[in-house]
Amino acid sequence: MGLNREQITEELIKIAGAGQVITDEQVLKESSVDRFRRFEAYHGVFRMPLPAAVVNVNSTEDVAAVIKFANKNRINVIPRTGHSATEGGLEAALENSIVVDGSGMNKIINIDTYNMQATVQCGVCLQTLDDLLREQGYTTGHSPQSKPLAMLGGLVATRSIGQFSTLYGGIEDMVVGVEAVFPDGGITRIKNVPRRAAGPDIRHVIIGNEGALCFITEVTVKIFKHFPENNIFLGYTLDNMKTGFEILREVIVNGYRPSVARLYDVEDGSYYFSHFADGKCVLIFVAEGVKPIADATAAAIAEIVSQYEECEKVDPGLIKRWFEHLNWDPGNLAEEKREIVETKNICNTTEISGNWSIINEIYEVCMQRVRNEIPDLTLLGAHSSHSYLNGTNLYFVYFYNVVDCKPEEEISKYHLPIKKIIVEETIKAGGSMCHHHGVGKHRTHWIEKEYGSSYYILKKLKQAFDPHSIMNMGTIIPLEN
Amino acid sequence: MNILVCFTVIPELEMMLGEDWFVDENLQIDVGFLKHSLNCYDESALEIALKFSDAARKRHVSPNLTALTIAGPEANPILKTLNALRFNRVVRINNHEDIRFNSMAIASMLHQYVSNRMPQDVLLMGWQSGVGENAKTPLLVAEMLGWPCITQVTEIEPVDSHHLVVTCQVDDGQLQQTIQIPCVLSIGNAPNSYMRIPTLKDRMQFGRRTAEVLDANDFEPFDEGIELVSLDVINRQRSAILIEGATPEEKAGKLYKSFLAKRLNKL
Amino acid sequence: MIFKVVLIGCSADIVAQAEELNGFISENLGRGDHGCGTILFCSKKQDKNALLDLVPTESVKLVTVAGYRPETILEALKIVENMEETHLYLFPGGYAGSELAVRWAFRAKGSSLVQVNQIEYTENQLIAKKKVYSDYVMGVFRLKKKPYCIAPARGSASSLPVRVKQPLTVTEHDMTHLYRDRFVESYKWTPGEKTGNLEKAKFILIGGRGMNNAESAEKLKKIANSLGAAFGVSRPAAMNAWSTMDKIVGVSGAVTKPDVCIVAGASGAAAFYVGIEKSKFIVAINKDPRAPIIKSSDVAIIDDYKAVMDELVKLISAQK
Repeated sequence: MGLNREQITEELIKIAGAGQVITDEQVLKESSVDRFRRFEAYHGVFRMPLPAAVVNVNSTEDVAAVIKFANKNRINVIPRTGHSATEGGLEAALENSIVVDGSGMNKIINIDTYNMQATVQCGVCLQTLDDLLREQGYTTGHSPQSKPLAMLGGLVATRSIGQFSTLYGGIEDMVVGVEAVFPDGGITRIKNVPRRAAGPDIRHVIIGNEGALCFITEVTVKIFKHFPENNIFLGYTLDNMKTGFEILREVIVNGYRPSVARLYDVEDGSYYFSHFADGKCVLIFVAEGVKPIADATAAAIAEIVSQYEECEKVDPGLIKRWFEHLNWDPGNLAEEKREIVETKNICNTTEISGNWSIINEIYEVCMQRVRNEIPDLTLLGAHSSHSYLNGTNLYFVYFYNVVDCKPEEEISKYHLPIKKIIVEETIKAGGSMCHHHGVGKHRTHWIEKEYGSSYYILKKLKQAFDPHSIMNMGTIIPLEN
Repeated sequence: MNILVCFTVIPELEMMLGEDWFVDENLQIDVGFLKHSLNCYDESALEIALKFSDAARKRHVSPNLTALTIAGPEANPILKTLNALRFNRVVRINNHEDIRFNSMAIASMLHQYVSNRMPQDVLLMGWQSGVGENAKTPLLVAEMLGWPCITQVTEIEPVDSHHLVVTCQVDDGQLQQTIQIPCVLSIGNAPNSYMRIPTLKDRMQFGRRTAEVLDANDFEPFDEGIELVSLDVINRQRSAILIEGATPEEKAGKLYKSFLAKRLNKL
Repeated sequence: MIFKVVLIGCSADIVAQAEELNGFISENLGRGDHGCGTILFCSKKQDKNALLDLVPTESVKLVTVAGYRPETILEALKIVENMEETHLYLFPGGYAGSELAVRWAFRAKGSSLVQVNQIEYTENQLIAKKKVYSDYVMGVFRLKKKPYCIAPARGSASSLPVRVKQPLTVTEHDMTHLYRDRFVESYKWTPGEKTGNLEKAKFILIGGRGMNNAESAEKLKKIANSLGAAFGVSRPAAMNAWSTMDKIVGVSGAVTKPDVCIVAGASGAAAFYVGIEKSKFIVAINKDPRAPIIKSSDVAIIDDYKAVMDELVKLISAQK
């Protein structure tokens, strides 16, 4: 087959209209990367193959037509909505890809406060939806830091999780029904029902597919009643992460569901809490919900913590101020480029998960190895922010000065070696290498180790739904070199 | 060459919640819940000093860098960072008095420090702080010392042990002056406004040095004769007034007449 | 009450200085007693008559200096004022004027306040208002030591063109001998770049997704030019290649703080709004009454922006 760039563009114009097909070079450069490569991108270095075009889609039918065309001609498709991805999921791994941008599909279709569901197109920004719901006393309950930027299509595609997940769950608990377009151009709709046992839960083929199987066009999520006036903030300083994990486990295992349950180590804590927690770990809880539940949750947590002598209570007012500024501050993001280019200092993260019995060990061995093996670190820390009955996550945060290397060498000198240590130690211990950011294109190297024998299921899904290998190639499953 | 950088730390005011903006009977606003960070112009001053020092060493001029603040213990985290960045001396003049709007007291302490305790050749500081917005301190220090003062400085480069090149913003462009020390430099909107970040290793090795703590009570007071009468929180809610009209032209007319004409004239 | 106005005639913005101070005087002070005057600094080469037209008082001391240096101006001021009783000195707004106000107050053993929005003079005190706490709070101060030396905040008063007072008493003073700059060994001046710079613009017109295509964006840009406004776009508009990336306002672009900001056809989501939230005055024009920008603006029009902007252009041009 092999259409060239001009031919691809011509055909896309026939399908979507000239105004919707963008071939401006600067736009194509920006569209070849996501936040994973922001260091080099901020320096004007774009190394990924330039897409052939970005096409703005305005309806599910548009999406179907474009993807069908791509499938027929074996052209790589990169589905995109909010453009806030951090793991390379939006990178163009192949020549002449088509970026299909659904951010213009931004209608809020229906808000149903009786059945407690909200139906939106893929390009609706989460902040916009949640602000609208909050005005009416409801919330999606979903609050990832990328909230001001991220859109529902991408949030479902990456199996995202938010900062209040301990109460509301991750996206997989929130999705009711979904509509998606598959590579053959077929439009599939999963209806909105509370639960069913009519075969396997096929929503899970779509949730988390990272654009490697289909393009999500419409999402229905649960909505929750919101009682922010009942929020109770609890904060403690303590000496040991191990104690912190114990406390988190006690709280969850006994059935309490605060919306926030977080444990910061000394380094990561110093970034946010140096004004009250110098040299200490920090534990934070927020009890939320109807008053009897919020009160009981807060009282129970206070009781559990009181049994650990090393914990010292912190003024709830301090926690409240932190709580009100959880998300990526658009103001800080606006400064980010300049700050990174001027200071040559950048922050990146790797998030993993593991059972209670292994998590502290993973923390300690990763911290020690990264500290000893990686140069130029200016901050290395971690926090646990999503706890479950059987374990928790760890979000490693690391800042480093980029020293004596070109912008494009930053990833291979610092970020990937750090990721390698954390991923390998986690998998070795029996945990998962990807808690909520998605595999993207840079943890694919370990995907078979992550899955073991169940890799068979993942591989078959890809073969079945994307037999011509056009959907966001290089994501989740590595490219065959 | 002895270089003194004077800095202040201020609360991160963007983190204040609406209800936090409350003035008590002592004309204080409680910022106790907030993290403190470097005043942005002082941050520029500190980074400019560090860059200058890097460049100076290449020319065999070894400047002696001191960082000084007049503050309570809220400045301690920054002092640790400055030690880790290898400032030769890090000083805190411990102060509990209300000096938010008292530039004269601040300038006087700095003047006494330089004259009586630790002679300096160049003083660097941000042109104003994000709390007081006084925009007076560097000018008053210069007057007290009888030193020349250059304002809106954006960059400095070494020449030799008695001279430097100072770049500053003026009305219609940029001025580069080769000057003889001593002088006071008031830092404006410098392009390098972020201070470098010390590595973990530097923090472990140098960050643990203690800052020198002096007592503000040991300095002679100075009264300028300015008194704070009141503080009133400015209502930032935007009014969201909807302009009605039968046609877009009519609405445009109302917009211009009632809201834009006067404002555009002031520009 | 005797006040003196200081004007830096050798500065490029002398007209703006004079008109701003004239407006400030008119809004805050009234006429003042006999003895009020202006001290106008100028260089040898300047057209003195043109400068004298800008004097807002009945008398003026025209002081010639060799060049603008704060130390020179301050020394000249001392000589020329020669301990005359003056209660209040008004300096131009801006960095240079503010610097002079503070340093003169020190030398004259008075008190100073700069970036001032309003003053009220009474027998024993001067009450002055200015913004503090990163402009979140208005501070009210009492100055007790005369002479009070004040520099207004730029844009705090409406500019008021000076209507020349007849007769104007002029005394001339030659201070050119004062230029002795031992501490500056050499200097080089480079002109500033023409700022099409969004971050410094005082008046910005922004277009969003509602522009719908590149031609409309180009048209809106021309409208901005004709109004003397800087032109910006929201990110989606740039990502549609309707405008270049350097025009983006918001998270991935410029954070602006104009006096006046008009937002046409942009919904105003958080990631964009951070680019304009420091604006003094925001006008939103949008077809969708539920667009977030409507609630976050000072004034809003629910309508198609094209017709509104066309009419606005006519009204603004007629005024010029």
